[in-house]
Amino acid sequence: MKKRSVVVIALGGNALIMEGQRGTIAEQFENTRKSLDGIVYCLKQGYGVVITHGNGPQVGNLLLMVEASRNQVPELSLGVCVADTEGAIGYMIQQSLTNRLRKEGLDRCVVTVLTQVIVDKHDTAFSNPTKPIGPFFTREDAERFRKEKGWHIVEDSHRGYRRVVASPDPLKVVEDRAVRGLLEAGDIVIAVGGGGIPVIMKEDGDLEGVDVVVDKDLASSVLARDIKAG
Amino acid sequence: MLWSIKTLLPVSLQGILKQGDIVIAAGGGGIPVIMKEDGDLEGVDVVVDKDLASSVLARDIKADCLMMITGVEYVFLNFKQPNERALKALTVKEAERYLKEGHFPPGSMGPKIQAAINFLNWGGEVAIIAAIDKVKEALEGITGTKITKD
Repeated sequence: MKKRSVVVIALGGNALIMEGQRGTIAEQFENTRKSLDGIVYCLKQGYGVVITHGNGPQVGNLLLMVEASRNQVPELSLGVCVADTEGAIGYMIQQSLTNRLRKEGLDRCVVTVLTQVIVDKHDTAFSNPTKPIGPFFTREDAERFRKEKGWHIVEDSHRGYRRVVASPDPLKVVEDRAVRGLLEAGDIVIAVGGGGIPVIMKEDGDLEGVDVVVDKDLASSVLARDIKAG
Repeated sequence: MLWSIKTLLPVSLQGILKQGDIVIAAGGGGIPVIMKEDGDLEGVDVVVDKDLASSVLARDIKADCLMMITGVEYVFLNFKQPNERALKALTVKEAERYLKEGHFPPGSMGPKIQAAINFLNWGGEVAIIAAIDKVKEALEGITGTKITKD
């Protein structure tokens, strides 16, 4: 059988929460449904499809929740926040696309793969964190988090203080074989949401989460390479 | 009690299992959805028991064994009573009787026993309930509660 061509489609995080919207779940579902035409077109052309997506607004909201509940529930690490949003956004795409495929007469499964992305712990980005994440802090809180957590916090153009994290280059997607296997079985795969969950490989080969973010388009390119899309 | 009717991805899971991958699925009982008149799926604000969801998934991927890992080494009759008794083996009939007699509280051992009964009635070979640190021993038959059709 001739190998099917595969297309990796990257949806922007802002495709699911539009400019000016509050980002309610109903809005996100509605926006997700609207983003499916291109995907359905590719499927009808016979392509295998991998969907990747951003998570900027979603992870931003989640970090606000983490901050608001600081004294009530244990804090979530950035990696866990990315994992949570990969799951939640994956669910919205899975359900919306499943419903749409049925109407189009396409009998296909849509699967989300929680994806870890390996970054180089020696990447120079680590020494120069630039990506602002989460809520704005007062000067006092900023000082406290710098001391207690070792966060990098910068003043953000008079709006307050904000945490910045590194954005190193993705090297490899840990679960690429699962993505390939699902594609070969004819499934539609959602992967590297939010750029994937960043991990480093330690000396002994173990993976460990790091508090950085990976650009979703760069992660998508690495995944596309490793599943030999195109 | 809410029953999960089916899982949506058994074929996908079977595919990646076949290539040797380890799959994590039906977490938290899975995301509950209803099927509307027109066939569309829609989320509902309910929760599905994870053991019952696991039994449905095990059925749909044609698993041989459903293993439920928990905090105790065995299923007990009269749990935490002076006449407490560990059960090393159970048949579906016995499990159904004990469940009816109220030995297994809802929300803890109850759903596990029900999940085992379902899985075996649907054609599964064996269900095992065992402690988190005794999985190996349970698979070797040294500890844990083994539930079979008869």
